[in-house]
Amino acid sequence: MILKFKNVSKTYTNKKVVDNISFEINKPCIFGFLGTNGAGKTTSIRMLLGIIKKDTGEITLNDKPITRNNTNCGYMPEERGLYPRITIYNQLMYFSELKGIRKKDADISIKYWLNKLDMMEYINTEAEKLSKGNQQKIQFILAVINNPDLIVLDEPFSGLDPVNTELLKNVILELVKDGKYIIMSSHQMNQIEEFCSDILILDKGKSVLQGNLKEIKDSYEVKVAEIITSENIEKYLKKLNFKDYTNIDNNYTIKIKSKKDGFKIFNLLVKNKIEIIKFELKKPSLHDIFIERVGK
Amino acid sequence: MRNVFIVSKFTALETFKKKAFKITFIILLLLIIIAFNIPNIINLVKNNTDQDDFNETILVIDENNLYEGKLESLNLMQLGYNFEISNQFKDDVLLKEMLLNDEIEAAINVTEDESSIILNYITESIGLTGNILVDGNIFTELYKIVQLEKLGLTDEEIIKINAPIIFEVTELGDGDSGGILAVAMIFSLVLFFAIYYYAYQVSSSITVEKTSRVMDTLVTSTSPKSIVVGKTLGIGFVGLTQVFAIILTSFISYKLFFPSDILNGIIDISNINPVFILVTVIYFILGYTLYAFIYALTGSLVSKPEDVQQAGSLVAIFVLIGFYLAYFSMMNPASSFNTIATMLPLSSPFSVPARYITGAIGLLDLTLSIIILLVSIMLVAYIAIKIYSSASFNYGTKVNFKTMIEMFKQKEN
Repeated sequence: MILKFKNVSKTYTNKKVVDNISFEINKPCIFGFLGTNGAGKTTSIRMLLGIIKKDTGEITLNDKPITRNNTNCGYMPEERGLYPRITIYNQLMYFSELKGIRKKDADISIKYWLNKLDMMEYINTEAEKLSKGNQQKIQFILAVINNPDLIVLDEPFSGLDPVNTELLKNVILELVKDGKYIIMSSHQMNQIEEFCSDILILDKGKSVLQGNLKEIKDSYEVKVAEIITSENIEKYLKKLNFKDYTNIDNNYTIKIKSKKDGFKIFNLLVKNKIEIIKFELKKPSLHDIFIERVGK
Repeated sequence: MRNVFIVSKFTALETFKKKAFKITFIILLLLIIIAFNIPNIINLVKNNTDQDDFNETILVIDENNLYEGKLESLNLMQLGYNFEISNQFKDDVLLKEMLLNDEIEAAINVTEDESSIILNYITESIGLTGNILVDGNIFTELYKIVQLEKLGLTDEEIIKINAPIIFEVTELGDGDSGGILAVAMIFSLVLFFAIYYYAYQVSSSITVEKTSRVMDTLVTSTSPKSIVVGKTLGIGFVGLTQVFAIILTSFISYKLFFPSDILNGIIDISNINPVFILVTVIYFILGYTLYAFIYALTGSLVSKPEDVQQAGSLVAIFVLIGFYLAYFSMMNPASSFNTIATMLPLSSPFSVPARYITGAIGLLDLTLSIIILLVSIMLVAYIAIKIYSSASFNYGTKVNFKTMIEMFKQKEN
């Protein structure tokens, strides 16, 4: 299966909300879809799901244009929404039937997913009586209940406690192993770094960075040296003319221009017989890259 | 089509399951049964009261014997009270004491001046309702008899002079009898409330989906057309079931409890036949569908439940215009309003069944009216579904007419 976005644009009331974006997903993976609020992520997702029509460009799945009817997609929207006074079973059954699943198969699927996410005890509970985290898990089930090939998850972990976050992470990784294509939108960069092989960053509707996450990070120079010592080393840093650093109990984060700068510091400390507990040269995190690309 | 059925089934079942719906519905049916029993309740209370009243005394003081002994005949008239006649003056202190001791219920003091007879009704308190136990006309009639007897007239002559004048109206044109018109108005009013109430439910159901953010999941699961049409059908089915149950309960209650002679001359149900019921059901379904689509549109335009009423008020004005147009045409059967009310889709659901029962509409007008209504429904449904697709994602931003046009023009898959 190959999902392609080619030069896709969308304009609302003279405002271009998606401006000529292109990307491709050609293997089961988790694709990170990033951007600030109002960057055009949701509009892109809605075009991908066939809910709204693009103005220009092509969105294809296996070289066939995507429409609402020919795509087996699952979607977990950013704003969670369930019918407050309807039981979990009834609403899962309703949406399953709307997605074309037969009642008997839907019943099996509902029970499978409720068991998998430790939610079976709430099967006959009204949605408004569930905690926010549990409602989120139901919303996740709604996205996967019809066994879709392509799953779009918008902020899937927000509001989940660490135990449930771990549970959902494992389920998502299992889905990738099962050959699913997952597009994940999140503002939590550490989660994107942990999960995604490829990313796309949108800013004001335009793609400002995209590609393989490892390759993107490799293309960046070392920017920070993290050093922990047993004594104060500020006089050595001043001697080497490093002024941009922080020091918390001899735990130093020093801004450097290249690996060479880091080794200069290391050599000086060794020469002066300073006890070094930790020495690490770090490339910028996805968070730093994101800020650099879209931060003002 | 499958999804339209799923949405309508879900909408109808979930409405039926709601506790508030069940309770309100049961209370409504009970109220109908009670309403049809009101004459029986009144009779029961009246009989008890009548029994008590015969034990109550009204004192009539005719100090100057102006009625010349004729006041005794009050006790022969079965007026529900015992009249005690006295020719002796009684002052207010004594009368007050008699009233407070419940010896008398009221007193009437008969006096005269130069030109008239004065009846002074004395009671403990007249209350907010101004309840006077005796009709003063009886005293007037009685006084006339006393005076006529003085002229030496016989009883037959006196009866002839006092014979009541009855004014009757006979309609020989195509006009309707009052009884049928009353039935027509009742049906028109029921259709107005039913159509308005159930169509409004579509609006509030859509807004609930928007505010609870189910909309995002819903529109990715099925098409806007399936949602709007399914919801309209689902709530329409609930409405039809409820209206049918209300009419059935009313009919059974009428047959079982309602005194058959009480509405003689007021309501004439002789024209209610299966064809009229069919016309009424058709116009309920079509009228509801038209307004439901308009309400679906307004429901999708708002994001907060508190805005539903404001957005719906414009539609409410349309419904009211439609109803009053139908009402005025009923009041003036010869007016040209009738053609407008019959053909205008906003008013025809309230007007046509009423005109049909009064025999004031021909088959051609009826067919034309249904065709216009059907075409209007299709047009409104098309616009409502188109705007719903874009408006359902609009949260927070107030929608004006210009935005609506833009939403209508918006491309959709």
